[in-house]
Amino acid sequence: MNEPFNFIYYFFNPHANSMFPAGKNMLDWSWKIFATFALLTGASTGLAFFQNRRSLLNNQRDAKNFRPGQRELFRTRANLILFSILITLSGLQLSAHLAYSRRNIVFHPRFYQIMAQSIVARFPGKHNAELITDLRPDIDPDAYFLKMFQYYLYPIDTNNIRSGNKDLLVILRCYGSPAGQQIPENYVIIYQPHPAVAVAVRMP
Amino acid sequence: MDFSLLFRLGLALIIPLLTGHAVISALFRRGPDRPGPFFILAMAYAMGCGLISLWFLFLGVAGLPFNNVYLVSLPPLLTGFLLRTLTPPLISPLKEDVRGPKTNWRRRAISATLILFIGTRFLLIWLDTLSKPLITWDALATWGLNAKVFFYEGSLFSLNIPHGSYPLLVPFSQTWIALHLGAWDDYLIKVFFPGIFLSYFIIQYHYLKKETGHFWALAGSCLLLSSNYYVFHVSAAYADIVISCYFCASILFLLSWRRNRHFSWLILAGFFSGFGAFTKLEGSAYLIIHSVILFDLLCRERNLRLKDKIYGFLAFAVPACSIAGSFHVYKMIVRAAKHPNELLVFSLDSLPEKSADFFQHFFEQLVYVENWNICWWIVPAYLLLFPDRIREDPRLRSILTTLALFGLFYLGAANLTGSYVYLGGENTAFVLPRILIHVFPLAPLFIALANGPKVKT
Repeated sequence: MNEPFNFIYYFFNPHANSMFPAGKNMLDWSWKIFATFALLTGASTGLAFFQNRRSLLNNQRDAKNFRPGQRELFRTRANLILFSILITLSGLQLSAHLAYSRRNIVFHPRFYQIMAQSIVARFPGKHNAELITDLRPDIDPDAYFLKMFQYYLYPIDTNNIRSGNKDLLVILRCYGSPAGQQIPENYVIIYQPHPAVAVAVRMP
Repeated sequence: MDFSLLFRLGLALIIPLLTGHAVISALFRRGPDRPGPFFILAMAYAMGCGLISLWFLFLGVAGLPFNNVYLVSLPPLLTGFLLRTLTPPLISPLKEDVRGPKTNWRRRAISATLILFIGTRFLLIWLDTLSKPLITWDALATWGLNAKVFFYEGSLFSLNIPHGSYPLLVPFSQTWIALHLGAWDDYLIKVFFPGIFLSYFIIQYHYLKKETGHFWALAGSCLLLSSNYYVFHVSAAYADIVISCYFCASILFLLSWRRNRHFSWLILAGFFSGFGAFTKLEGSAYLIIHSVILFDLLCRERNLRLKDKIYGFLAFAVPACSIAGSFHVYKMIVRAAKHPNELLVFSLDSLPEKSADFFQHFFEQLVYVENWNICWWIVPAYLLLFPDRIREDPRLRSILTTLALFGLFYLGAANLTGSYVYLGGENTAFVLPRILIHVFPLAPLFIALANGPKVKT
């Protein structure tokens, strides 16, 4: 809570569909959503009835069925209330979006992106590479980081998209021992931008 | 950003505009029914992107390299202009525009606020697009990666691309921009997404302006931008926003046909429906939804002869099925492995359980305020508030039918295919909200039309 008006960030949550934990599972909020829905609908309908109370009380016979003019009035008021809720929420969400954009105007590249781009800069052109990594493709956020690394590494292909012999070995170790200690036999490291990342080739 | 890069980016945006403009101009010749210039340009960009993607597919299937910028750019442009020159003019009288309520200072003040809201949202959309590279999951794993592969390899065959059975409009459109830039740029290739959204935004505004007047057209546009989730996806580089634009634009064109019975609208709807099928796998099912809506509209037109009804249906079906069919033929040629969602796995025992799960998650997602504001709440509320109005208005009925068919399709998909895991199972939170993006623009449309002037059946 370092920044003022921090609550506003609640109204813009762009990570709802990313592979990072979003902070809260949207499905856990379902009962609150239904409660809010019931409350707002009840309040809007109640207010519309309240505004029509005089005509309703004066016309007991028409209390169950509105007269045409009253029905229109009721609908208009109910509609107005729904729009008031919508406009309020839109205002809050726009403020949240502005706050989010202000905080994220400068993009900070992630480690995997920087490493991949550094390898591509060092080995320009098309290459087929074998990737050895301890990132697990079946769990998050490992799977996301792996996809990011492989995407930014292209045109160095580690997805077997291209057929042909592999001329590079890329090692990415994030949890275990440094990449340099995981080199298979007959391979030699030719580039290591970070202890966790290494590029090797087979010795002639 | 240097001037040369800006010029190249400009070319990447202008060539689809010109190509699409030529085709749209062939459909709507000069005359009283010709839509306004902004509307034409909006349709032209979406049309141009679709046509160029099809041209990429043709080049790829023919074994020609599509990383040659001249081979990719010139033929669609020339064909468009040839088509424009050769086709006979199609003109029919246009009915009067609907005049909205009289403007007073209060309405003018509200309109100014709405314009401010729209302007700010668009500014933020472009800021989000251009300030971040591709970082979202599907963009990195499928759409962006495939586009990058096509850019570097310049061919379709002998490649083992991820999700090889997925349609190719989105990767091709990104490849197109990169080809003109001359290098792969993780920021600038994203301009395709807000570009296509802007096209749809103008199309919807124009449609609403014709039907309800300026004020409710503005309000409907604001409602479209009032959804955080939808707005976020415009810059997320996912295919969902693209299919949403093509799907809903096609519905709008079908409804526009109902207004002035000009076959050009049906041809246009057919093209856009076909492009939807070339954007995502679901697009082929949406083509069936469009066909049902058109069939319904044609059946209700008592003044139209049977022959004209058949021609009308063909005007829609021929372009739509040709485009969708060309992709499915390509899939057969390359023998693309089927996605689990396409495989039938039906069991009668699990039918009630799966249906209940689907409905629970579907309705939970619909009322999620953080994603959709209260747009999805207002639609059922209007069913209660204005039942007569909805019963009498064919446009509102068509929109509700579309939503019902959409729900039915996914209910069927959850029960009959392997996609249950995404529609009612453990991965629902990642996929189901994105599916709702496809039809979200129909909710603001419904609200704006329900508030606008009445239309006789």
